[in-house]
Amino acid sequence: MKFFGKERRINRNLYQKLQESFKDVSDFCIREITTDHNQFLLGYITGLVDSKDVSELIIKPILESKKQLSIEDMYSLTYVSNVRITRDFETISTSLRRGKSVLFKEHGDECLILGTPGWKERDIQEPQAESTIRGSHQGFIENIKTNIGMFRRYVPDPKLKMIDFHLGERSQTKASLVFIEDIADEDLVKEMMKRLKRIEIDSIINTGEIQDFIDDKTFTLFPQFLITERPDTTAAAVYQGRIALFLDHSPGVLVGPYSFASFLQSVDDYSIRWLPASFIRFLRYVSFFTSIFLPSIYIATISYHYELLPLDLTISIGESRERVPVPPLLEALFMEVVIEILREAGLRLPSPISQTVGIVGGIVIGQAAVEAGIVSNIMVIVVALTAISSFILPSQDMSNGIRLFRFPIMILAAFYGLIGVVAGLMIVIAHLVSLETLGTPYLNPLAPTRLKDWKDFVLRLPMGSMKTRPTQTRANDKRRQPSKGGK
Amino acid sequence: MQRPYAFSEITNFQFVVLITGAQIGIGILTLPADVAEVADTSGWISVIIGWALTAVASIVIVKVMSYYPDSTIIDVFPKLFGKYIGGLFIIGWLLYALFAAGLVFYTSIFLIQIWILPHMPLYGLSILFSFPGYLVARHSVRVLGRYAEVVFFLTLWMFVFSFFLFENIYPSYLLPIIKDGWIPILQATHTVVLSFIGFEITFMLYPYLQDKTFAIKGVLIANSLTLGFYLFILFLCFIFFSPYEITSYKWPTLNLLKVIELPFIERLEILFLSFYLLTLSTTGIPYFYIAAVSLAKLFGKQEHKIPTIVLFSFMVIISFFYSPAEKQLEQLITFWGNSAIGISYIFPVVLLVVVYIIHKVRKRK
Amino acid sequence: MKKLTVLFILSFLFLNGCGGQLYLEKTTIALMLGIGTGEEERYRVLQTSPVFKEEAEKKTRTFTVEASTLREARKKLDSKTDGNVVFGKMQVVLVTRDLLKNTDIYEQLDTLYRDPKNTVTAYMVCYNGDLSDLVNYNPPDIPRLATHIKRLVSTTRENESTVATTLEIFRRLYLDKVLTPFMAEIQFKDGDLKTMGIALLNKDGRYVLSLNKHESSLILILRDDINYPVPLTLSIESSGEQKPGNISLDVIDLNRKVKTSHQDGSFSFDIQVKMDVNITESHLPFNTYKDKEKTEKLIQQKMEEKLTGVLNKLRENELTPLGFGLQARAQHYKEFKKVEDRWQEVFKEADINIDVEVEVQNNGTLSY
Repeated sequence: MKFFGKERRINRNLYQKLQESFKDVSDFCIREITTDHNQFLLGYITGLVDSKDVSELIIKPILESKKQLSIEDMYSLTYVSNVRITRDFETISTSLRRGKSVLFKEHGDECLILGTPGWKERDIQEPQAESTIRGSHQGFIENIKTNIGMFRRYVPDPKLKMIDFHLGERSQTKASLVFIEDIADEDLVKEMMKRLKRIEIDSIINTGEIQDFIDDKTFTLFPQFLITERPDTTAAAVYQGRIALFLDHSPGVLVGPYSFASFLQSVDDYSIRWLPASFIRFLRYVSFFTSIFLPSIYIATISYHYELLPLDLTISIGESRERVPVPPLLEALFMEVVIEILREAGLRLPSPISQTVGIVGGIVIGQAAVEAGIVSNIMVIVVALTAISSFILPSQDMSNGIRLFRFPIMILAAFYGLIGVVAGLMIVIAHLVSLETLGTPYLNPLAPTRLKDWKDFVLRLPMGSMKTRPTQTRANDKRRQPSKGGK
Repeated sequence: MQRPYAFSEITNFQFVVLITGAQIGIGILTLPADVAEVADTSGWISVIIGWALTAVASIVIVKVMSYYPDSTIIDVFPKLFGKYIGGLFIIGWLLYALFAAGLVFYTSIFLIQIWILPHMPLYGLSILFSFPGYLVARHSVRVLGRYAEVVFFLTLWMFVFSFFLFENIYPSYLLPIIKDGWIPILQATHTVVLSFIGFEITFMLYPYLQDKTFAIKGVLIANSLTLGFYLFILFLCFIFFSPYEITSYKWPTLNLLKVIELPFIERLEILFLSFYLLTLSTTGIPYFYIAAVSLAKLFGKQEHKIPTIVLFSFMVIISFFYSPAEKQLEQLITFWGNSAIGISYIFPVVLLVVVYIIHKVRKRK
Repeated sequence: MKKLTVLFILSFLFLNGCGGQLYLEKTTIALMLGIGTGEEERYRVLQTSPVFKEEAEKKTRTFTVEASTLREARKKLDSKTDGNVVFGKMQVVLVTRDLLKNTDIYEQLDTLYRDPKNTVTAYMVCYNGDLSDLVNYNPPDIPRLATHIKRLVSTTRENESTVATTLEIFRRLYLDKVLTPFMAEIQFKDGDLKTMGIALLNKDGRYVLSLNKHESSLILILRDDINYPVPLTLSIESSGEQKPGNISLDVIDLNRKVKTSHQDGSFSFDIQVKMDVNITESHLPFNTYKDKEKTEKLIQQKMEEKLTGVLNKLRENELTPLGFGLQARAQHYKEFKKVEDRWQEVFKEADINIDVEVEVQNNGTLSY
């Protein structure tokens, strides 16, 4: 620091300003580069720049230069690719905080901003929550540039547009809205921009936070936007006319509008043959209903409508219920809560421990609780089936929402039996039909019924039959395959 | 001019299922017995006659509304009759819809109390159904349409089970086709026509329909769907129960289901009636919606959320103090039925004449 | 919205405990009702229900009460058992033959039809014996008597030797003016319960006569109410032989046609029965394979004789379980309407022709 006090030839103004603005910022660093011909000052924030880049690409050329260099000379001389010249202090300060280095000349008032960002990054891995069997095994990482790059490889479309902006008053997180201009509906893009602009918050850390701001309805258990870590999912969605939002430092990309039906689809569906794919799809819809309604149907049946069951089943349920002292609702609630606790416990633990938790939990629930007469063994089957059903859904957000829906319906079932379950179903339907995602109906193609889109709904028909883009996205260009259909 | 109802346009299919949903309701549970009472097993002919009458009435409604493509009936009343007399008409329309909504609501609860939950208090069930009812009815027609669509697809599976009935059936019960002449058949039409009521919501739906040219086709398709369903149930009941037996049941359709036993489930009438509530809800909710919108119109409001809350609370509060006995409910239904026939079959014709004359006069001016 | 949701959920607090839950394990599920004659114009009602307790040695409990109606009996049974008695899973309704002789049982079953909670798919069975025998009948290999009886009847029905009349069908038969009710009959024989055949009731719902298993098969054939194959064994006297020989058949396809005609207030029926049969056993003194025509003719004659026999037995007793009246109603409605209320008499007087046609489809693996 001594050095700065002595030297008067350097641009006082800039230097002073920097020093003021980076006072008490210990990771800010200024290095003097002095040769016989030149005297430069280089400022950067350690940890955000690649020190190797800085020394190789900036310092080395200066040191090796045999003549006097101006900033303009440096602009052409430096090996750094992303370079620009500015005089605006705000820009300089922001650039510094974004991992760039600034180089200023002793006498000039110009300043060279050099893009030398470099920090430790995760390797590209398969996203754990969305692994596939056949699909690509790449997942987004925490860098928006890399992410868009990965996505770009799927979409070399000339009409691909990206609108960049920053989110968060303080965090100024970089975000990028990506869509294909001649497919995506302009109104949807406008609507999305309008909603994003409405966000007023100091910082955005993760993509998930944006969701709450731009949802059509927040008081709901159903996700209205997809958050995915998969470039291929994103690309497929964008090709269908959806809009993707990339956010810096977040591997999750937000995609919308995303309907209920799309949440039950997975990329794998398209990479296996259509018959098994349809079967799996169908299973998912069955599981959707089981995971919401199975425990409540069980409660309703054994507390009101024993007549529904065939005699042998009635008797065996009666025998196993006989030892349980609590009413079926409490029994079910207890088991459901235990399963939820186990699930959550297993989720955050390192995998060897979580396996142990699973085994211990499984044995406690499966064997001991039944033997102790706390729950009946039929209830264990019901609860296990319900839990497994909720795991079959490809979207975490969806299965989280559904799991919560189960509890109120169980209570309804305990009060009203099957009538309560049906009332619960009515509430679910009423809620779903009033939901919208980015202003488009959430239940499309079921309601409004678009039979054309049923080719990719509960069943997945051969790719050849899907000639048009889904109506959900109101795509400008409805045609997917050149021959027939569409416009 | 900006079309006032463009924000909530409905598709053709939504138009059809909304009408069919409003038509298919409690009627079908009692229809086979009611018809057999008068016309024996020839009753199905009455259903076809009823369908023809309904088709004519629906077309008349569409014709009336096509003079005012951007108004619902409650917008038309003031235009036709002025603010005050028009207001009276709106009140009449409101009372009719409210009465219909209330009857569907209470009859459904009554059915549940008889067949499924005999010890459940009335108010308990009315609280239970008010909530989902409100969730749908407070929205615009478009959401109602989507709801009707989902219910339509979710209740289709119920047909599958009827195939298990084809074991103890005697098609010869249906013969001879015309048993006691045409007079009883015509008499039974009166009962039948009541089961077709519901198409008069076209008065409210018309301005929302995206493709107005589809309107006539739409009402015809809706009525025919209803007809198909009624005939299916009717034939099933007539060939399953003997003509002597069927009139001894109040709800033969449910008794029919009681017989089915599958390896994994028995007593299907409990399951079916529970699920049938979905269909019943598509009958009741449009009426609640109409009543709420009319109420909002009377107070000059655009939003009908508060009126919906008021109406459902009204239903719940009544249920705490008054629980209708079976006979009373029946009398109310008969009373309502007569007014419904007036409003759905006679009123449109009168209105068409009035509108036609008014337009002729205005054109001359 | 949020407020309303909260309000909705809170409203359940008021409801607590008034929903009328009936937990499965706390009910006494009546699997079988036995109705017999009691003292002083009353009925003896026997009920069996399963025991859910694991510790219990016996899987079934049996109670008997005396009451003047079924509903009253249920109330009395309630006080005898530790849970509410429910009729929703009833398997069998046994009525003793003695009771059937004197009472119109249909009227007594009113509660089973009126209360929608009760089932109508329980089998109606006529029991020839004393109810107390059933109470004492608990062999170790039959844990639940009710399901045992139900299976007994349904297996016999599958062999086409009795009928499986459910409560629903019983009501239909009873109310239909052209039909008379019938039901399976069981009784104890050599210490074991055994299906006997069909018990036939007249129009007033009173027991008239029983048919044995062979006759039952014939009734089912005449009713065209059969599942294939129908096993039959006939004993046939062929000409020139002293001893009648037996032949067993499986009817694999049967076509029954009823032609009705009407003349001066009396009806006549032409019944054509076309049978395709497989021969499963033959003790006839000639080659059934080579003499196919002869065999067919003999079977035909025998069948005609047997069918006419059983038909006449029915007609003598004014019983119409066959439902030919349905055809009369369908084809001659006006004339039928006039005699509808005294159909049984009309049927007794009616002119009936039975014409059987037999074709042997398969002689088995033997060529004689």
